Amino acid sequence: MISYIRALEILIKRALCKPFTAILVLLIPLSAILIQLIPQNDMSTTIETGIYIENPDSYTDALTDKLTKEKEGFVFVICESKKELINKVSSGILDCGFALPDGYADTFINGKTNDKLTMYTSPSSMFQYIAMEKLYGCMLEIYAPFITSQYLSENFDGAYDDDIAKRFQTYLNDNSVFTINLTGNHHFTASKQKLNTFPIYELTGLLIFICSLFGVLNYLRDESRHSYDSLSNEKKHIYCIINIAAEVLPAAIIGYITLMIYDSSINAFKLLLHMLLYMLICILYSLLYRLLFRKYTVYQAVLPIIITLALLLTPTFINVTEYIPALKYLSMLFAPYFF
Amino acid sequence: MFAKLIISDFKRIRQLMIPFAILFAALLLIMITLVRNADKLVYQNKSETVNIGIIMQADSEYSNSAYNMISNMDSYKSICNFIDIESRDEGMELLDNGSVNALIIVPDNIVSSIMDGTNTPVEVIYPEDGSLQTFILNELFVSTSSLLGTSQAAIYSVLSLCRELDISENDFQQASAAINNLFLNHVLSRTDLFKSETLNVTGSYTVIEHYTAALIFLLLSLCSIMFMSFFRSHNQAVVNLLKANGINRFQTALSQFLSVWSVLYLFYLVIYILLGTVSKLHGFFSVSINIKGLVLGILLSAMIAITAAIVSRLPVSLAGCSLLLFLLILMTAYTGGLIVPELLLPKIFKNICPYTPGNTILRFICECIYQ
Repeated sequence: MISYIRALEILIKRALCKPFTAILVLLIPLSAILIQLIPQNDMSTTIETGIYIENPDSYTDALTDKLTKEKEGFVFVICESKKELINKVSSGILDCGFALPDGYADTFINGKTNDKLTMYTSPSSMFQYIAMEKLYGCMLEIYAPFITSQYLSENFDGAYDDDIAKRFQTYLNDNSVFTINLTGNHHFTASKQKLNTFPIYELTGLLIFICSLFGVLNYLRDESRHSYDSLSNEKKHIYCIINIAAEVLPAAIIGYITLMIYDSSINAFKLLLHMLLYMLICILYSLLYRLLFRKYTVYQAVLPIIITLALLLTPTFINVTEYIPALKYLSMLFAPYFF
Repeated sequence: MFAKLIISDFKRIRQLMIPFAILFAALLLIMITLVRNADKLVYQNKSETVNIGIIMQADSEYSNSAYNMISNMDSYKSICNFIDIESRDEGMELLDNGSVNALIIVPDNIVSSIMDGTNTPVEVIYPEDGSLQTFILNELFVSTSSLLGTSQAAIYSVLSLCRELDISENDFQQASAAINNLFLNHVLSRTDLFKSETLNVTGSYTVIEHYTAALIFLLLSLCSIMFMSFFRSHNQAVVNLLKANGINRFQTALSQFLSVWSVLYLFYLVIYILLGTVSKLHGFFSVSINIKGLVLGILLSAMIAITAAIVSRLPVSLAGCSLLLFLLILMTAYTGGLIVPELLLPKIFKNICPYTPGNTILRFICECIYQ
């Protein structure tokens, strides 16, 4: 027993002397410090729709003034170029976007439909039809006086532009037209919530798992160099576990201390139990991988693939099982799933 | 002698074929699952339907057709679910317990009041929580009601002007009908003013096409890591023996390269034919089997084999070489937009992405395998 403890001590020293292991172990506290130092993100809760106007004129200036009045909730954003609009809609920064071609006001006033307004959406767009109604409503309100004065000039003699515009505003403002009565709270204040979404817990679990994989790698390398030839099979298994434990222990200890400092609300005993259990799971999984990939050359080639799959399938940076439930069973093949 | 070396290298690489095939198959399965669901991963759309309770006592043909017209509007259909409610008390109860997000009470005389100009307002009641859903609903209701209000203001202004002009009653009625029809047609045909264009974050190729091309590159590259041990299998004694038989380091490297290249090309053909067959049978992946695709495989396999051969020659341990090659593949894939589409990359990577080898490889693969 003492010899195993002595072997563990030596292997831990060997592990910590390697720059790669030291970096891996220190990555946990370094990430926690960096997260604290980096300013936290403000979460904006506005829904932004883009507008691009090919050739701004006085007609479109009135439209943009009205559209860009709102700064909270549902807002319209002017884009300087069509490329900017398309890029922002494609990447999801804008929910949707509208491009007004040159002279569109004339098209709208005359009720022509040959020159259309392009509505850009992406598969993530949710409110494009609401934006479309809002945009049309604004355009109708601004251009209705021009539609009516055009009708009058075509059917009656005289110029009525100013007169009709005044009458229109009067009727619009004196509540003689159709309205809706609103009761209850329909206002929305875009509260800026401070978010910190860096997955420090998941990252700790992943790093401990990676350390356990390197423990197996060390054992297999030593085995390929005939270091354990004189031992029985049972003792070889024990030394395999010791190699894994030698890599996992430093990472687990540093991870535990870091999480305790990072989140003071954590129950220390619960976290300790959780960490011990997780270490056992990592050791078991590592032994399983050792059984699957017995040779050092094969294992060291497969190791990056295992790490990639663990990154992809376990909920570290993205939880794919939320979108593809079938992958849940595959993600169980990697220990970080249980952390 | 060189030919014998090539044959012996082919025989040696056969030992790695089974583990390579297993790894290849496992990765292929997982990656194909991810590619098939790439849309869900890239566009995490969690739209929720909002319930609107509506109390409409008026049972005329006009009010029913108005209700049908509104509920069939795309803006309402996309986010709203209308629930018919019998009474105000029932509606308030549903509003309080959150079963509905808004309550609309339509007066009995809605249609006649619009026609005679009384314009009895519709009552909309929201809960007190002030959520984003109620704000969005309010925007929708206000936009819809403003269409009617704006049209009425325009119509009233024309009619009030016409009354002041010296025109006959017949001309006045004609003007009234004409202006009503003008705005009615304008509002009813408003969707004809728009044309829709759906954009992809992956540019001219769909998300699935983009990630299928990325899959081909990543699969071959990641599996090539397995050949590190093959490239570094010759110790000094073997090197000296080969030298004694007239085979220099370049010939040794060339022989190893040819073996790895052949294996990679063989597996490229497997995946290419598989994707092409699935595309033909199910219309998925949209990969077409053609000469360009076959030539692409030769070039891609050669490039990956050369890269692996160069990395294997570095003066670090075997594990170090494997890790280095892995990091190189990851960096190439990330900066090239193979893992995260170019438009979603951080700004600094977005600027350099079009000029990276990864992006060039991706574009080349897309041009070759898609019609």
